[in-house]
Amino acid sequence: MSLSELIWGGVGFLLTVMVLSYLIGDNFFFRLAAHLFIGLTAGYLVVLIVHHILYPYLITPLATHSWMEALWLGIPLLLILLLVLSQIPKLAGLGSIPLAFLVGLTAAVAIGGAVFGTLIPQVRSLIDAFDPAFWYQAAERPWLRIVDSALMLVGAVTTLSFFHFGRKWRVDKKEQVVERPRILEILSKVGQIFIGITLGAVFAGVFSSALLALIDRIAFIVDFIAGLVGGGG
Amino acid sequence: MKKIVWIVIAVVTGLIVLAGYFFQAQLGPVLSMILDWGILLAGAAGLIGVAYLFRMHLLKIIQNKKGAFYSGVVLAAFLFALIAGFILTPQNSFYRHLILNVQIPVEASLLAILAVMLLYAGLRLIQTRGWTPMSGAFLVSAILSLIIDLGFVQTRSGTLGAELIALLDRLPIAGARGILLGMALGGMVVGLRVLLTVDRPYGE
Amino acid sequence: MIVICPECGAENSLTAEVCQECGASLLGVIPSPSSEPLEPEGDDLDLFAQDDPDLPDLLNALKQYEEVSDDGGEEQEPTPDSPKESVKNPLDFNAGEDEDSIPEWLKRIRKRAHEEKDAIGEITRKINTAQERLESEKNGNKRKQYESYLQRLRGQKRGIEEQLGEHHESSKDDLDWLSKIKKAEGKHSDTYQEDQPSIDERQGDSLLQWLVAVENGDEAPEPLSEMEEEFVERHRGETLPTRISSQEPDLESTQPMSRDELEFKPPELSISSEEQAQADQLAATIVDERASRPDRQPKRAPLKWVMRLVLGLILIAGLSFPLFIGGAPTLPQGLLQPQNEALLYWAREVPAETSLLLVFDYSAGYASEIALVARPILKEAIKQGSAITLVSSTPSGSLLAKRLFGELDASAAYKVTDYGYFPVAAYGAYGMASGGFSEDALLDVPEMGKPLPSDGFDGVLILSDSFEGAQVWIEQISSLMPEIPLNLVVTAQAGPMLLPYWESGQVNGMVSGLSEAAGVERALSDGESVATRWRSYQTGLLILIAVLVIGAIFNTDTRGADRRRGEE
Repeated sequence: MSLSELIWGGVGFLLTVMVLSYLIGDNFFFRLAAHLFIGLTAGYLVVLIVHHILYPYLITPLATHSWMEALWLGIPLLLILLLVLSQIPKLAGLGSIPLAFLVGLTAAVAIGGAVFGTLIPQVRSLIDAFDPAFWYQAAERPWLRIVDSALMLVGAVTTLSFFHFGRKWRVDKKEQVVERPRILEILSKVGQIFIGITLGAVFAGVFSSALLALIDRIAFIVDFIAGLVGGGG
Repeated sequence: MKKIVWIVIAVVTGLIVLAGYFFQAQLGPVLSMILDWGILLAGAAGLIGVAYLFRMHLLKIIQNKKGAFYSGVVLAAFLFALIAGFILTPQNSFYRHLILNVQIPVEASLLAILAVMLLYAGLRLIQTRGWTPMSGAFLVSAILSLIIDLGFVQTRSGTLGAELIALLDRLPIAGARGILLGMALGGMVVGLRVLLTVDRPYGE
Repeated sequence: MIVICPECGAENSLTAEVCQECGASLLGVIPSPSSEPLEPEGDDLDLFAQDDPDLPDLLNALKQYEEVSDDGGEEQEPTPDSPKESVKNPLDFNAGEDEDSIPEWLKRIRKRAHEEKDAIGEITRKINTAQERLESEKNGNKRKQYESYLQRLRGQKRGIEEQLGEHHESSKDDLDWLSKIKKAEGKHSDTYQEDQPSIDERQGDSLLQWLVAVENGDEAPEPLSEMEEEFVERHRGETLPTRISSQEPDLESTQPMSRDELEFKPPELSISSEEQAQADQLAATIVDERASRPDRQPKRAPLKWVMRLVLGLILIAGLSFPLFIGGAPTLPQGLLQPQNEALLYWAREVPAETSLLLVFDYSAGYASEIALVARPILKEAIKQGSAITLVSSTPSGSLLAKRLFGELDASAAYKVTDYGYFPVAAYGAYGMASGGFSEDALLDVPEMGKPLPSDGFDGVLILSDSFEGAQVWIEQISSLMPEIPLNLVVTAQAGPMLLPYWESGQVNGMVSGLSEAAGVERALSDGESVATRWRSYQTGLLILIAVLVIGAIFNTDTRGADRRRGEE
C-alpha cells in the first residue's frame, strides 16, 4: 500500500467509522464528521461556482469580447448586483427583479417539460397500448397484452383520481365542500392499491441502493485493514 | 408601477422560453443568452447561500452559543477547501482526492445507515400504518420486487410463467405513470399560474 | 381578655377549658381582647370597623362586605354578597382571610393558580374585568345609593338610640355591630332590657338569629327560602364572586328600616354567559380532578436505538460473511430485462468517432453503485475517436466523472470536454437540448458561454441517482431532440419511476440497480465486479424479506389501542 493510498484510505476509514457510529446513537464523532463534510462541501461549492460558472460565463467574455458585445453582460451583472444588495434588509425589495426573471424562466421550462416531455408522450403511450397491432405483435397470448394494457390504463386513471386537484363550491350554502363524486372515491380507493404497488417497488429499490452502499463500506473497511496488516507484515 | 415591471420581466422571459419549444432555430441565440443569465444568477444565489451559512456559523462562534465548537469545525473545513481550491484549482489531483475522499465515505456511510433504518421501518410497517389497502399492496409489492431481484425465480423465455412474472414486474409502471402524470399536471398548473400572474412569488 | 370559642363563637373566660355554650375544647385557643365600646354618635361606620372573631365566618363575611374601603375611592354596592375581598382577586392567598375557613378545594385552586402560569388566568381576568366594570359603573349611582344606605343605617341607629334613651350605654361589653343589631331587634319588640338574653337564646325569626341558632346547633334550621339558601351556600366561607345585580335602592329617607328591609336579600349578580361557561368549566375541572382514577403505569417504549443496533449488527454480520468467504459466484440467468437489452444493443452499435453527451447527475454516495452499473456500458459505448461532452448537475459530478473514466480501460483514445456544472439541471438540460446557434436566428447576439458541438450529439447517456434529476433531462431532451437516442444508467431507487419513459419510447434503453447490472455483466461476460458483491447483496435482500414478513405477522396494529387509550 503506497503512502497516498494509506493516507487517503486512513481518512476514508476514519470517516466511515465515525459516521457508522450513529448506529449506537448520536455522538460527538458523528457530529464531527458531519460538520467536517458540510464545511468542506461548502468550500468546494464556492470554488466550483467560481471556476465553472462565474469564470466562463462572466469573467472570460468580459475579458475576451469587444466592449459592444460585453455590454450584453451588463444585464446579468445588474441582476447579480440587485440580488446581492437585496440581502440588506432595507433593500430587500431590490431582489424582486432578478427573482422575477428566474421565476419566469423556471416556470416556462417546467411547463414545456411537463407538457412536451411527460403529459403528451405518456398519454400517447397509454392510448397506443390499445393498438391491436401491438397486441398481436407476439405470436402467443395476445390476451395477456390486452390484460397488460387494461391494467396500465386502470392503474394510471385510478392513481390520478387519488390526487385531489380542486374543491367544489356549494353555491347554495356558500361553503367549500371537500366531498367528491362517489365514483371518484371508488376509483381513488383502487388507485391507492396501485400507488402502494409502485411505492413498494421504490422501497425495494431504495433498500437495494442503500444495501450496496453498506456492502461497499464493509468491503472498504475489510480491504483497508487487510492492506494495513498485509502491508505491515 | 414597480409591480408592473416585475410582472413584465417574468412574463416576457417565460414566453420567450416557451416559444423556444416551437421556434428553436429562430430563437436559439436569444434562448442561449437567457439561459446563460439564468445560470449566472443561480450561481450567484448559490454563493449568497454559502455566505449566509458562513455568517451563521461565525456568529455562533462569536456569541459562544451552544455548538460553537462544531461551527468552528465547519468554518475551518470551509476555509481550508476554499483556499486549497483557489490555489490548487479543481483539476489538481490532490484537491480531487481531498474532496472525494471526504465526500464518498461520509455520503456512502450515511446511505449505509439508511439501510439499517429501512430495515427497522420494514419491521414496524404494519404496526405503524395498520392493514390498509395501500400498506398491504406496498408490502406485497416490496416482497415480490425483492424476490425478483434475487434472481431465484428463473423461467424459460416465452413461457406463460415468464410472461406472468414479467406482467407482475411491470405492475409498478401503472402507478408510476399515474404519479408522473399527476406531477406533470401539477407542475404545469403552477407554471401557468405564474405566467398568467395569478401567483407572484417574486414579491408584491 | 376573653377566649372566643372556635366552634360557636361564644365568649368564654380566660380560665375556661371548655366552651360554656357548646362544650368545645378551648385548649390552645389564643385569647383576644374584649369587644370595644360602642363608638360615640357621629362616628361614621364604626359599626363595621372591626372584625369580630367570635362571629361565624358567614357573619364576618357579611360584615366585611359592609365596610367601606379606607381610601374612599372604591365604593361598592352595599350588599353582603360582595364583601371587601370581592374587589380583590378571589384566588389571592393573601386576601387576609382566615385560612382555616377556606375550603380545601378552594385552597387547591389557589395553589394551582399560583404555581401554574396563568392556570385559570383567563377566568380570573374575566372576573376582575367584570368587577372593575361593575365598580366603574357603580361609581356614579352606586355612590349615591350607598350613601343613602349609610344614611338609612345611621338614621336607624339614631332612631334606635333615641328610643333607647338613657338605656343606651357606651360601656357595654358586647358593643360590636352584632350588639347593635341585637339592640335594634330588641327595640322593635319593645322588650329591650339590659339583661336581654344573648342572641343565641332568643327565639328570633331574623335570618341572623337563625344563622346563629344553626351554628350553635340549637334547633333545626327553619326552612329557608330558595334565595336565602342560595345566599347561605354562596357565602359559607368563600369569597368567589357571585351574581350581583344593580340594585336600585331608592331609600333616601332617614327613617328607620323595617324588619324586611333589614333582612339581607341576596342581590343578583349578573355575569355574561361566557364567564358563566368558564366558571362552569372550572367547576368541572375541579370535579374531574377530585374524581378517582385507576392506577395505570405508563408503558415504557422499548429503546429504539437498541433495536436498530441489533438489526444493524445482524445486517453487517450477514453481509460480511459472504465477503470474507470471497470468490465470485455465477450470476443467475433471467436478470436481463428488455430495457437492458435495448441499452446493450445501442452501446454495441454506436459507431467510432461518435459524439456523446454524458450527464453526471449522481452524488458521491452512489459512486460505487453507478460505477458497477455504468462501467460495462461505457466500455462498450466509448470507441476509438469518440468525442465525449461531460455535463454535471451535481457539485461533485465532474470529480466523479474523472474518477469513473480513470477506471475505464484506456486502450481506446477518446476526447473528453468538460462543459461544467449547472446548478439548475433544468437550465442546463434546456440549453444543451435547444442546440445553441443557427443560421436562421432572428436576433444576432454574441455567444457568451462555452460553444456546443456544431453537429450535435449522436447519443445521450444519463447517469443519475434519483428519478427527479433524470426526469428533468429526459423531459427536455426528448421534447427538443427527439431523434437522438437517450439512455439511462441509474440506481435501483430511480428505476421503477423511470420505466414509464422507457415504455413510452422516450428512453431508448436503461439499466438500474445491481440486479440488472448483473444481467448485463453476465451477457457481456465482462469482469466480476458485480459477481463479488452478489452473494452479500442476496443475503441483504433475504434479511429484508424476512424482516418484512416477521413484521407483518407478529406486529399487531397498535393504532386502535392507542386511539382507545386516548379516548379513556
